[in-house]
Amino acid sequence: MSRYIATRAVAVVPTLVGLSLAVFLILHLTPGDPAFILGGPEATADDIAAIRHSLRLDRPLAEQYMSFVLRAVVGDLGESFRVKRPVAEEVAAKFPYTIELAVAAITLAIIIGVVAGTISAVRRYTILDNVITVGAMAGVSIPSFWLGLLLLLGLSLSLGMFPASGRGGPLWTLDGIRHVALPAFTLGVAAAAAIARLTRSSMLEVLKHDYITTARSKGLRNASVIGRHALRNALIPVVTLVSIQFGHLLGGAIIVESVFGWPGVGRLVVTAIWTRDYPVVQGTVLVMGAVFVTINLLVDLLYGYLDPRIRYS
Amino acid sequence: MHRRMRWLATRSALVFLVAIAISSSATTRAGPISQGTLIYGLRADAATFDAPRAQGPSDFTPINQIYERLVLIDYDGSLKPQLAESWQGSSDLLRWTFKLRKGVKFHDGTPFNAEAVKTSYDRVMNPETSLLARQFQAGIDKVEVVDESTVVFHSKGPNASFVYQFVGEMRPVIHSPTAIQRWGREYNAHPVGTGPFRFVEWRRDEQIVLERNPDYWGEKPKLNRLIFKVVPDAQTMLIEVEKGTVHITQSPFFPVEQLVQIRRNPNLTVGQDVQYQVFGYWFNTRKEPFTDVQVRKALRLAVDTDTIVKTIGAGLMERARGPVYLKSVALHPSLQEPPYDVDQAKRILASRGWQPGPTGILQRDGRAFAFTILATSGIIPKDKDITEAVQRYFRAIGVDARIETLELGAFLAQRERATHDVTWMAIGPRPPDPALTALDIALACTGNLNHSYYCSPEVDAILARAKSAKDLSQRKQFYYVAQEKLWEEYPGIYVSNPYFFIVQRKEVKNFRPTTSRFSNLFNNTSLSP
Repeated sequence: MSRYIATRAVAVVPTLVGLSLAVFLILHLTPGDPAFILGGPEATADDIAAIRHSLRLDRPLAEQYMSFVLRAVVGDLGESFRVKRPVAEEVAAKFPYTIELAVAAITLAIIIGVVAGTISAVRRYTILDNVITVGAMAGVSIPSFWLGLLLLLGLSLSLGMFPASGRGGPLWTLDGIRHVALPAFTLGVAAAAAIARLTRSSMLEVLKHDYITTARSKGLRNASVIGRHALRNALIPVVTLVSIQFGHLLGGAIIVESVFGWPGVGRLVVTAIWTRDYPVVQGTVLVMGAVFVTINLLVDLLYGYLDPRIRYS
Repeated sequence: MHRRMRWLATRSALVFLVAIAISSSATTRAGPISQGTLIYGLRADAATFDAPRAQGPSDFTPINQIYERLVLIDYDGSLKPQLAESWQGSSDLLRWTFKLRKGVKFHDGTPFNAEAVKTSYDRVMNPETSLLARQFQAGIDKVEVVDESTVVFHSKGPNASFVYQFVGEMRPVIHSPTAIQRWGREYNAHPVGTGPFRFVEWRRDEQIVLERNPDYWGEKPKLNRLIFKVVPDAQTMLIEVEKGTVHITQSPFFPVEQLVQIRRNPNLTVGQDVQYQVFGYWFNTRKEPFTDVQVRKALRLAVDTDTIVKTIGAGLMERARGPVYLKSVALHPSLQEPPYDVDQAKRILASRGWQPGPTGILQRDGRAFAFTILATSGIIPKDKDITEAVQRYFRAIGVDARIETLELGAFLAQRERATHDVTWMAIGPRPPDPALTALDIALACTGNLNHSYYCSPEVDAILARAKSAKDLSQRKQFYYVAQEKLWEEYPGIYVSNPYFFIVQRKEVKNFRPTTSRFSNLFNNTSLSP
């Protein structure tokens, strides 16, 4: 087991190096020069040259990349071209908010998805099952910016139940919950739909097994059969899906954070892309990639815990 | 047991929903009648509070409440003293003496004086600091302290509009020299000025909090607090204003349909004004076939700017009248844009040897009349749609224009190479002095926004005389003559002057944006229940 963990941990390194190289090349090889954005439309050629020199953009690409990687190894992600602050500080300040939103979204998604999927499987081919299936289809299909706007108009503007934007207090306070509710729902609805569909199919598979029949024949109550025996086994593939969905939520947060004015890394990276703030884009993507890879690693370990039949070699 | 659990769960859910409903109604009520706290909606967070590094409206709006300049631009576009009490130019227009306001203190208690002015300007003019505002101070040679309350600016050349260099967003504000020294690189998050509001808190990407400066030298602000709330999405912003959780916001980029709905809301008002900005397209007059003024004229006549503004730009912009902003004192009183005339456009092109080819595209010497419009989008309202409309108008006379749309940074870099055929252009917003309008920056031979590369020594000579004429009415005459000379040159197609919109709640009293739309001052603004 420990060897497996070590092997997986070492495999993270080339993944992150590949990611950093891809982001670096995409940013530097696409048209556009941050010096022009920073200099403004009326900057002279001398002004632009001076800005490029001060940002070391006049150095060869290989040198710029090596400098970025070597500094990143010791936790220095460079300085933002735009706000002149260390990128690591910027990301550290914003990342907890994105994680907060993503955790709230995935929690909602798991609750809604597992409950809906289980009901759908247990009440197979009933009207309720059809309603949940159609709902899940809609949940996967609805664009998040549109859903966000509908929720804002309905629940925030018309009913006044939730604030329209901003973060409010910490997540464990009522103010925090009210602020996170709409963005978390908007962000999590697609994940909830995917979880519901997988839970349903997985449950239907598990419910056919002999041990379920045995449990019922022993006279166990239906709720106990479903909750204790069927659901636990049915959730194993769902755990993998949740980890993948969590990664998607970090990416999806970019749009939702803009609609709901949530102060996370999504907005940080959007602003950075618009202003060609290379260090911020590189640093943020690297950190998000590292988080994504770490989550995948943890889920693999959790998978082994949930299903003892899985052995690592 | 299960029934009890279910009952408990249902009860908890009900309590939670009621709690949310109660707290939400309390918050909604608190918005509009807050105790002297005005909430202003910003579309983006400030990047910095170090004014000479600032670039966008989200930086300047809070900055202009904290800091002040020597001179302010008034509602009618005229100059008004701010930290200077008066100023006087020498007879040769090379030395400008400013008498400073006495008894003014910065928010940290440091006295405002001539040394503080010199420190602020020297910092901007020092090339090593690489401050963005430096490019707008090119006309200043040096700053000299005469005594505690007198400072002399030396101009690099005779310049009647020298003082206009002191107004506008990117022009230096006066900082506390003590604070700059104390905070060093961290100064951008610890701004200290002399303005009516002082800095309290900056929660990045959330809000900026300022409070009333009780020691302000001028009329004391009525508001206790001024909060700049960051709401990036335009539609969410309007919802915030409707809810009353934002009192006021402004932008040129609100969705037209939502503005129509907002205008029907009795609790809200929508104001609009024309920006000091001209939007259109430049021909590269150094490249064939745009070296030929008749070809440029034909292309100009082929585009119905009136219809474009009335349809695509309905409610968002006004039709341009040449390269000078509609509200500039230098705008020629009688010159009008040429009428849309496809037939004449075709006749002119035919007379220049352009004949329809087999595909309908004009040809001359076996070469099709085809070129590329270099463009960006999302900077001016509806700019992408307008560029496409212009492309269709060109096509109607047999001219094949392709559009190359790049994001702003790439666009600026590409345009700087000067290889374009036709380019998207937006000049401004800038202070309304004639010398700072399109004539000098975009149509003089050395203008740094001259991407048509039109160059006429005769026009330049007229502009130079305008710049050195002391009397405004005399200057205006020179600018009129320059416009008359330029009228038949067609270096570009001037389409529109975009509006900006101010959406505010009825309880906001006495808010009036300045001519430069980001310099809104809240000294007289108050909230009524």
